Amino acid sequence: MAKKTPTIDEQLRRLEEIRQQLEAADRPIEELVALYEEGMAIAKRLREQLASIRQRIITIGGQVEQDDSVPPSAD
Amino acid sequence: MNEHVLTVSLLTQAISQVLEEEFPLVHVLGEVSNYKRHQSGHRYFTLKDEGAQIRCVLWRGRTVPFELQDGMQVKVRGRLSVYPLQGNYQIDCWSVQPAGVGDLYLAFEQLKKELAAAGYFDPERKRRLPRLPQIIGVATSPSGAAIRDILTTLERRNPAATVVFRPTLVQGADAAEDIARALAELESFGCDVIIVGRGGGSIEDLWAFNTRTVADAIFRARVPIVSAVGHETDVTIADFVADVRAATPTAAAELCTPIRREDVLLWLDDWVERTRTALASRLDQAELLIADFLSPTTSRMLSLHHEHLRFQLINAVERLRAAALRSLDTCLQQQEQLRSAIALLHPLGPLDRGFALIERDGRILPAIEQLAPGDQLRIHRLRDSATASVTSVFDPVYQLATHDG
Repeated sequence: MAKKTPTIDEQLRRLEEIRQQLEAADRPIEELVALYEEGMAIAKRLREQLASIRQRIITIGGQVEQDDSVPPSAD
Repeated sequence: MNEHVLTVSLLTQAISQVLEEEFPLVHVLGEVSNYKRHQSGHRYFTLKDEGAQIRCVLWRGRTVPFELQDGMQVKVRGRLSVYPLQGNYQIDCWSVQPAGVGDLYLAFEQLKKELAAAGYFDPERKRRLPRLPQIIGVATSPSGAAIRDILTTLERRNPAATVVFRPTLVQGADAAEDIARALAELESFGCDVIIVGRGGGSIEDLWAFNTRTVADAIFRARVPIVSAVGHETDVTIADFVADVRAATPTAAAELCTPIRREDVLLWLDDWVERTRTALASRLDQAELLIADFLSPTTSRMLSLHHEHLRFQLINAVERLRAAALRSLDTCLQQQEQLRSAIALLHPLGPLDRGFALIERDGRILPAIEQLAPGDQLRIHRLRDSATASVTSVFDPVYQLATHDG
């Protein structure tokens, strides 16, 4: 599967990076503001992504003639 | 009694009939010796005790869940059969069990020892599970509780992950092979982590997970494998080889979703808060600098500075004035001196000191002109004047030493 859009993990890592840079505050304010804006956009997108998401299940291959027919596992 | 002559074949046939009919099913306890595995897959050995021995054969296809070894105490189950070509009899074994311990247990222990020696269980080769896997592979039966538990748990915790489910045989003769294939397929699909397992069952039910085939498949996998076989108390070889062993399928799904959707949302809230604070504090700093620059304190500092400058200026001016005054004094003094000097040069100055001017014919008589008797003179002194007539003339009484005339 080609990863065209950044994964949630990648986005989270980017946000973490941005936060560290903002907290270090060793850059010009213009850059910090730009970073902040980038981060806010990512955070917003992530939130929407997570809110709307539904589990996707893909079933592949395999032929099954038999099952392990057991009662629901006790946990 | 007639002498009845038999052929070897007929006799052997008769013996065979007797033995095979008399011993259609035997359970025999003895020690394995002279064990040989033929290329054809058939296995031959001798079962013996202190007083006797008997040949045994285990045909290809008769599986024994452990590898036979010479010296092993076993219990074989089979029937007697005669091999006419060599004129011997043997036990045609259907199954071989270790005497004393369960055969599966023995097989388990053997394989475990072997794989441990081969480094399959080394902690160093255990991989860490991804913290936010995008694609989670699942190899288990489509009908058991395991798949249900796994899917529900994954959905609940991290619906952002895609689940790739490979329906898999998890028990029976073909299970081990199918599990191995399933792992390979899921890996090539691009899964970030794979859950392999099944619900609980007897040791026989779980047996596929105790095979070398499955152990190898897990060992070869390049993505982390989470095993979840049976219940908490069931431990299989697969569990030892897997990167992480989960007590149950639900636990496996939880291990694959260490970060839940709520965690991410909370983290995002925290992120927003922290970055906002960080940026705000940076901006505050800048503002403070500006405010500070414009503050009364600073202005006061600036005017203080001014004051200092002014003071310096005043000082300088003072010094200058002083200097000027000093030079003016000098100037005045010089002027006075000059004035005195000039006063000394005044033609009437000498009158001050008692000298007199002599006028003849209306003009001051120069020193070099001679007087003669009968001259009418006018004598000027400081405070009075007089006229006089010259009666006689004499040589000078006072001579100026420096004045040579």
